[in-house]
Amino acid sequence: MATDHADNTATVSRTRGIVFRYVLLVATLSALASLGLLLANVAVDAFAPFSADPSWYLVYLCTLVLPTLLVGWVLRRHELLVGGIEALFVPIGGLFGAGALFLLFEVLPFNVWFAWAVGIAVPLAIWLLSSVAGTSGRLRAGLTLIFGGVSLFGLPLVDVSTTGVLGPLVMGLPAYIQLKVYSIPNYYLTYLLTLALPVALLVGHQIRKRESFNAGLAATGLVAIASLSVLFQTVVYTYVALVLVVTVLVPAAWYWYTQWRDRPDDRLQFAFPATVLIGAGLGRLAIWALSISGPNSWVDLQFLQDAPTRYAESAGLNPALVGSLLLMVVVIATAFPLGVGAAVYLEEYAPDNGFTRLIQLNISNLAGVPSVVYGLLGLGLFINLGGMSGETISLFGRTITLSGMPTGSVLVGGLAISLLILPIVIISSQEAIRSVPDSLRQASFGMGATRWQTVKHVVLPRSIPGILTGTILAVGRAVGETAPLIMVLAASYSSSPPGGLLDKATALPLQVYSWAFEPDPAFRHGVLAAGVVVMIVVLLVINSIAIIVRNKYEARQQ
Amino acid sequence: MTDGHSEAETEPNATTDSATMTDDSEDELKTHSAGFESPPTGETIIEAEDVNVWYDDDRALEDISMAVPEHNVTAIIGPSGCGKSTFLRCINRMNDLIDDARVDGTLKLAGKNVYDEDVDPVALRRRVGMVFQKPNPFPKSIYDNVTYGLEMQGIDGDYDAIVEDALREAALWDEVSDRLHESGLELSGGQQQRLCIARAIAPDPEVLLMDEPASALDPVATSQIEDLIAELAEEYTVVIVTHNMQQAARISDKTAVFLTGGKLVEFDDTQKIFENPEHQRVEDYITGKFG
Ligand SMILES: Nc1ncnc2c1ncn2[C@@H]1O[C@H](COP(=O)(O)OP(=O)(O)OP(=O)(O)O)[C@@H](O)[C@H]1O
Ligand SMILES: [Mg+2]
Repeated sequence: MATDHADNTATVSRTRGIVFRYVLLVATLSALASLGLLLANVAVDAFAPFSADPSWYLVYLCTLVLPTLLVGWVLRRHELLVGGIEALFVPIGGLFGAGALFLLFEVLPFNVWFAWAVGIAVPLAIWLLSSVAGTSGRLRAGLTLIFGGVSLFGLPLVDVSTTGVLGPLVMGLPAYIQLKVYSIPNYYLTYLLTLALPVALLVGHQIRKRESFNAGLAATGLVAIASLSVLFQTVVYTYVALVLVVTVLVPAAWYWYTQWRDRPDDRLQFAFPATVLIGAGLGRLAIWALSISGPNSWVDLQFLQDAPTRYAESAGLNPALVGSLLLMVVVIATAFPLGVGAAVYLEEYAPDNGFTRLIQLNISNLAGVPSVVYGLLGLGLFINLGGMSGETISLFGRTITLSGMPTGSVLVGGLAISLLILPIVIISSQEAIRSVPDSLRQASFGMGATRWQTVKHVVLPRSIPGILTGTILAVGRAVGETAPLIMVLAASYSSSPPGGLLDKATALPLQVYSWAFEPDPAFRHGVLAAGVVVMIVVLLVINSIAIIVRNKYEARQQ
Repeated sequence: MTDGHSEAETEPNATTDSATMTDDSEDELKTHSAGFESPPTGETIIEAEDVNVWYDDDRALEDISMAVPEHNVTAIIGPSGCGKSTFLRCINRMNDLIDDARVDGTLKLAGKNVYDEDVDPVALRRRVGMVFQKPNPFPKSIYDNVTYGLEMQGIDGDYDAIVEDALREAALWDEVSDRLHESGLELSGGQQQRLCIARAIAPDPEVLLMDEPASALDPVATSQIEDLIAELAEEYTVVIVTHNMQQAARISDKTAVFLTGGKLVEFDDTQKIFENPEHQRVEDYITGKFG
């Protein structure tokens, strides 16, 4: 009887367990399937895959897909597939870097870029020279600061109208060059001097450190040759090709070279990027030779380069891309230092009293406040308070003239989003800081380090990967955030990219949102879907940066 | 403490209570060393007078008074939870870092009360190095671990030479000289602990506090560390907490016995403590009758 009983309970719990397990499985699968359907739908709308000639698919199947599958399968059996994919991702990541750089160039006209590059070169040179001369750290820092300050911002409190020989000294180099220097080198030369040259020197320096002086020289020479060789092609503008050399070719060559040398047993992994790149090239060539028409995708270079228009065919989201990039810059520049600072204070300095606990409680709650509320806050704080320029209000019997931030500018939108993600940045940074073992702090204090030294040399280095991961993920969330932007930016719809932080701007989610209401169905399906695809890709890139940062630091700390 | 009292009174050349012997510790030391083959003695460098520590409302140390002589190894032994670590942390004011710890009494380092208003705990910790129970090297290179104190304290000098000296003194140089720039975490536990010792002595402190430095180590590593401590005593004053009675007997010149409740029951030359303790409870503890 006793055994009977036991058997009974065993069966009951087992059936329950099985039912529960499959219910969970079905729930998960259906959630994933609905999301997958939605994304597939968007992809079909965005890329219009059925508009392509079937032979287009056939060509790529033969040159790209089948060889890649085959090579991938072989590499997998040798456990080299991951390495192969990584090797392929370096140039692809470089392409995204190039894209971001081009967006930046749109905001920063190249004369401004040139002017600031010259301004920064001066303190950099001073620092390098004094470190070669072997001066002490403090003197070096002081020299760099003084010369850098003068070079970038000029001498304070001196009459700015002074020109002539003393002009650069008074105004600072960037301002002086922008105002007074009319013969600036062209695009190609500017980027050659400001991008390719430093990169070539850096690569040479690194190689020299690892190998020999001659190897370093050779590396510098190779980069220089690649940078110059773009002059002899007519496919794209020389400056575009130069930027691609710097962002795609050099990092890829660097990564491939180090892998090739450090892992002689894994060299087979290069079959993967080779197959993919050669396959894509061959396919492209075949299609061009046979003049086969590909899919009439909405996502193409034109879409990324053009401004929105009334015609779906020629619509683009370049201003929104630039706007989002600038918003990100503002968000990172404000939320990162504030958030990390607050986290360090709360974890390392604040006494454990009621006030600290109150702040802590508030931060946790702020992380859960709906984003619309932050939009309102931005509206109230930055626009209504600051926007009505010249208006006066009376406060405690005083009259205050409002100076004003321009309505709907990148700065205001960025600050509003920054407020939104600040609690998330603080909380994730706090968690990262808390995970630093106390024994390390004790060791540091025991060595006679001050609290700040302990934070700087022990706590922050250990927690920075966690802090960065958290911050980057939060920035990713900020990029997709719509509600605050609708409140702050929507009033100032702009169809040209912002030229600076105080310009009116639009952003990716706003642009997508506004396309949803266009009467033309080509907008509501094609263009809208293309916008969604671009946004998702941007988010994926940001999240992969977070993952890469984490993996890299984790590997280093073991 | 009270039952120890009556015993103490029967002993002519002993002080009546360990808590009262601080004022003339000099004489006291001499009286005691007379009978033995002259254990090294020196000037008093650390002098505790009625030190009390509370964590919130729990008293962890009760009226501790003792005088630690310079260039000696002083061992602190006692059952778990009797306040040995707490006392050690009083000496370099690491207790300041514990929010609810409160210290009162005076604790003099070379004649100056370290709890005076004008004493900066950071400056104090630069004179009093510490080695912890669990090896805790920084996740930096071996070299950077040893130079950490120098850099934080702004000490200039030939770092390469200092690193080599410190590592040699910590008996680690031969094992790591060819990989100074690899991570300190890649060493074995015993090597890590010796690295921590090298790190502590690199800035040349006056006193070295060690909280059960060998408790996580195997017998071989332990004996290496013990040899090391004996050598260190020539240059530094070492105060070491240990659970290992034999270790205290082997390496220390003086021994303090703390018993439950945070009381210092007996403080004397090590030989005396282990061969002829004045208090029955100390004898019981040392012979393992309780603990
Ligand atoms: N940070 C702290 N907060 C509160 N109480 C503490 C703290 N540290 C120690 N105590 C208490 O103080 C008493 C003495 O602790 P201490 O760590 O000094 O003992 P110990 O002699 O070093 O013991 P062990 O041999 O186990 O290391 C114990 O009762 C302990 O619970
Ligand atoms: Mg302890």
